[in-house]
Amino acid sequence: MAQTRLCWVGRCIQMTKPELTYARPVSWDELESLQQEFAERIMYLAGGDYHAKVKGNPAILIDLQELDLDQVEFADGAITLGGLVNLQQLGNALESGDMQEAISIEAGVNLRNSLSLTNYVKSSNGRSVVQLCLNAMETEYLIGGDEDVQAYSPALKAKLEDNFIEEIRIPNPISLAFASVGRSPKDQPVVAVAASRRSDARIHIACGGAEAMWAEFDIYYGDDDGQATIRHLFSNVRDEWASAEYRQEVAAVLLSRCLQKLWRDSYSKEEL
Amino acid sequence: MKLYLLINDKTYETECHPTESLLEVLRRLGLLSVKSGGCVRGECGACTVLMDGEPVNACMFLAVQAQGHSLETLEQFGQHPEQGWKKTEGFDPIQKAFIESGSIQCGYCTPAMILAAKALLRQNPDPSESEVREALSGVLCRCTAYVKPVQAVLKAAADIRQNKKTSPESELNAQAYEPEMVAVDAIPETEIIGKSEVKVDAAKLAQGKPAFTADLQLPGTLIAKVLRSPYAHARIVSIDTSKAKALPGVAAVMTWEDLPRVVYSTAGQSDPIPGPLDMFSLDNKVRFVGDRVAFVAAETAEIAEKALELIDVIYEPLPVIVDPRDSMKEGAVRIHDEAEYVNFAESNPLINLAAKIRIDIGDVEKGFAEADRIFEQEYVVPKVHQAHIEPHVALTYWDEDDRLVIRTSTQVPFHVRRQMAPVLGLPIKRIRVIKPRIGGGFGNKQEVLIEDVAAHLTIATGRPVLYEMTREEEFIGSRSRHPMRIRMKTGVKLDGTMTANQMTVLSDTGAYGCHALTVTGNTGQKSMGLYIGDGEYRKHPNIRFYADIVYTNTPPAGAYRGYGVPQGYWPLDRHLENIARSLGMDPIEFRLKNAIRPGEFQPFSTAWNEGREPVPEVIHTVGLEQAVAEGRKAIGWDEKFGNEAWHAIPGKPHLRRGIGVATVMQGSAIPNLDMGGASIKINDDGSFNLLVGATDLGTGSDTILGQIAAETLGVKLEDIIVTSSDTDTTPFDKGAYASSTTYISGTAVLKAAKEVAQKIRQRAAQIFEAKGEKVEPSDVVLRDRQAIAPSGSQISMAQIALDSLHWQNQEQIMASASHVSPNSPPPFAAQFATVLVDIETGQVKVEELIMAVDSGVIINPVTASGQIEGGLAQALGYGVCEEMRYDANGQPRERDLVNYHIFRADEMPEIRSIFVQTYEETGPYGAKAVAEIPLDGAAPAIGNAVLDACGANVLDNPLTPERIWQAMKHNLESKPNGQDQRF
Repeated sequence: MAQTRLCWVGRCIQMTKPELTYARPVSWDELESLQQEFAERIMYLAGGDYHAKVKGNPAILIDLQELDLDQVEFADGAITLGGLVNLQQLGNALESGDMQEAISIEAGVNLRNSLSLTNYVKSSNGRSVVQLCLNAMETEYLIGGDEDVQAYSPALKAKLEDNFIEEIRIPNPISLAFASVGRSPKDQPVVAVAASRRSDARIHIACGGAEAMWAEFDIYYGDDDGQATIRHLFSNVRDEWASAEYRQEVAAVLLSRCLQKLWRDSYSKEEL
Repeated sequence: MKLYLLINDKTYETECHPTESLLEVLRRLGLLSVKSGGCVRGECGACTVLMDGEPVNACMFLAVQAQGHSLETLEQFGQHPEQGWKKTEGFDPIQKAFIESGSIQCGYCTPAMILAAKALLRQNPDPSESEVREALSGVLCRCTAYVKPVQAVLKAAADIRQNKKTSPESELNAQAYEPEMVAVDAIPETEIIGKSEVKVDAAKLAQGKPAFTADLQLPGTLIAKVLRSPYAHARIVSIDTSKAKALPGVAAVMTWEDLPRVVYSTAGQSDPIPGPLDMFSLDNKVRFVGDRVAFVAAETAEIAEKALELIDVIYEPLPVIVDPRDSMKEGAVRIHDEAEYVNFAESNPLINLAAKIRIDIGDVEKGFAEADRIFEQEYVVPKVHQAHIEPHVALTYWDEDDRLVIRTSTQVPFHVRRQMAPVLGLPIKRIRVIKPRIGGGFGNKQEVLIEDVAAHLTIATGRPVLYEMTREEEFIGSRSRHPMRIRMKTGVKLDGTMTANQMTVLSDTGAYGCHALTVTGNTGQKSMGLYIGDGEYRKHPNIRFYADIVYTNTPPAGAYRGYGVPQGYWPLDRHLENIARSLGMDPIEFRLKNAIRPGEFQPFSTAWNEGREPVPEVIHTVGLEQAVAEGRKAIGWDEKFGNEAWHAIPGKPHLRRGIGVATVMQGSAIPNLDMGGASIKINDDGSFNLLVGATDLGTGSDTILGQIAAETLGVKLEDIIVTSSDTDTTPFDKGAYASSTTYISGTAVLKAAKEVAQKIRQRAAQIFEAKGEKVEPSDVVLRDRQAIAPSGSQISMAQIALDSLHWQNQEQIMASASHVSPNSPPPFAAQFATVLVDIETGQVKVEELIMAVDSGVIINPVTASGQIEGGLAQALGYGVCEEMRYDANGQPRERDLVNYHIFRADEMPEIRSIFVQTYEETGPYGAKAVAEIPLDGAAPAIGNAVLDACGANVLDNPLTPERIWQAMKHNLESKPNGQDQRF
């Protein structure tokens, strides 16, 4: 890959976009300088997106691919990924069968190889099962230019409309359990539950299956089976895909299966 | 900006705008193996390229992002081995395996699949089947069910490991991939018929050659876009196009005010169209979300899209009808109030009635009175989409003779020409329609749907215009399968004899009445016609089929493979299953007891013929019993059905297995209507040009027709150069629908080939005589490219050609023929399914689909089995996940291939096809149809298997988890003994 800055002014064949600059910074300093120069009129190219399209009327396209944002690092029991890591790399990094299953439901191989985590997270909704798994693992996100990490939220998604993820941190990525129900084995589910055992004996649970639905809660071993909570969470989640009644009952079943799996995993690890 | 792309080890320097996608730039650079599926979420994978060795979607990157990466497209892998004096290394082993295995049907996704396989085999030379399926999971295919592509990749891997050299094209051999075949009747010995010849278009498609409509790039081509209605029902009060027209780069903007008001039907059917004329290119009223409002042509797609945004439309919203049960209610809003509306038969726009069918065979009420038990139930089947991977696409331009050329992805080129002429204000003789390769159609391209858009804009601008629908437009603005609400009422004796059978249908044609009458007629004719009763009822069956086909404010339905028949078999076969179980009879025995047998009338042929005079038809070949026997054996019915140990999964009490069957019948063409023509001429080297109007939409019909000609002329398939579907150069053919091509067009080819063969025999006899050997022409045998006298003397076909063209009594040996048949001999099939049901969630996983089919003599086993497999995959989707829904305002839920899920390679059940060959005297070399019947019985077989697994009697298709769960819940709440008591 060329190590020099690439910067061109677009040929004026699109009269609605008279001038558009493309730049591929090779250092963070260079990025910063471009950010200062173009301020609000930047569109970031953060790897592959669902649909390659320039939105709005930016003055510059800043391509982030030379900034090592496609790296995966393991340290202190956590995994840190750059925002240009794609879904396939995420699956390879986590080595979790349940995450692999979620990624497989999310997309076929080509799309996994193409879609960056920045663009995935930006477009995710309550039916995005990889996001569900990331949420269950209490994943944290560092947005470009920010100093503090943050959890997944509508605010995070909104921020990504004109920004990018610099770093994704999965603390203590152990014991993920995921279960879902769709119309076919690889269909987007109408009910999905992911649960992850955390280092402090909590189990963090994320559930979804409807576009507008995001819910997370904790339970503790021996205290609560989460059944009442999850039924409550789904009590009003009805749309054209499934009724609330169905989702309540099936979410409870899936949660129970996830907890059994976590328990089995934990038991087998102790045995080892 | 200047862009440098490293593609196939070569650096391309090109001007590029930063907003251009990699897909756009690759195609602009002439790398046309990279296809567009029109999707916006990367879901189809047709645009796969290898980036740094990994398969990615070219639509998901801007071209500028690809600079500095190594790109590979199919253009760099293998090529035709014999190129005149130049020899190449030939095909890549993966290409070769795809060609030989029959993996290439329409071929639109083939480049993507081969690249995905290439990436896999570089990393893993010995993959398992599941690894191959995983590797292909990013490329959607609607034709193959992935069966043969997976076989091909495994075979290629083995060949690569063994370092096998590729063969020249003439040595390609598909016979290693042949399906199971069982002969019921005596099948005559043949040389070419019955052999798995490689498809005549496979080599070019395996190389990703520019064979499709959008692959022709003419200078100065404008891009068309269509403004579509956001309202389900509204009048257009005003349209202001001034801002759009003022946008630089816009060449034309057209609204209803700019076009002559010509009413027509988009249904691509023979004249007269058997349905109402109720559509305009553009109208002052919109009737569904997605209906056309305006056309734009511009220099680029981006400018055209921007222009659409600048068109100001003021709508006056009208009341909306989404539920067909509301269409004919008193006071319902009238969807078609235009003065130009032309009725057909009993259509009545005053009450939103597009068509009406009333068929009574025998005395149904008497039959009910004679029954011991009467079973009644209502069933619902959904609207579903054809989901061909190549969107609708048309390119129009004026040729040098001022004739309008329409290059289009159509199944009906001759109907396009006839039906477009009045709409465009051109005589038929000034229109030429060319059908290149089509990336799947499945009925949706039996619609004259988009040609007018491009053509109007070409007329307006004088320039070539390309209109390619997006995936969203396919869902909201093309056609679909008619959804229906169907009530069954059946009388039976306690011994299982059916005394009367009644089907009452409410069919939803959507906003326009295309195919309304004929699709729904088929629903009854080919499903209800299978079961006539037993004993005396065989001679005098009692069948009633009533249907109302109504307008709603939803996208129009139309033709979809199966053409109404799958809608009939869901209720009919689910109903029969329930009756058999209620009577305590074996479900297979009950079906066969009442099914039609050889020598009996197709009952509907005595009463109905799509609005024309009925012509009673006796059915001669019925291989249903043999199909049932073979399918039963293959799926292990006797070991599984009723065996509790098989149904239970040890250690997993929440899972239950089930097994189900459905028996089905289709047709072979529309009798006394469908006509196809063929023309054959000999060339100097003893090869032949075969010209057919028939339309190969990926089914392999060009190959089949070539085989029929080759067999009859005693030459190899490679000696037949097949040219199809050009209204200027090929004879008329009604097009690819109604399972008619092999049966009708094939017989036309057979007739023409026989005439040519006779002329060759006469010429050979003259040559033999000149050499002193007296031979009767009728004694000359044509075989192995030779004319052979009874003595064994031979004259080569090339000699005969030279003799006739150059040496003496010169003449062009040629013939033309056409065929129309009074018969429509049905294929029959038994379809079996096994499923695994999660009884806690209702999730169903289909584990096996097996189909044993009587399609007469199979002309090409590999291509025929490909039809079965691909059809089963579509039927599987119909059974479990495919459905198009609308909210109360008519807004569609499904707009892409994510929400509208079609099966991927890595989630398919085991699929198997078995041919039970009868010999149909009226068909070419004994053949009947094969393409549509797989769609008919898989869904009810799965439904019956779910019932068998867990007692869930699901009445509404598809079998979604919630429907199964609700049905199980219903059982628990109301039927403690587990018996279905809803009758």
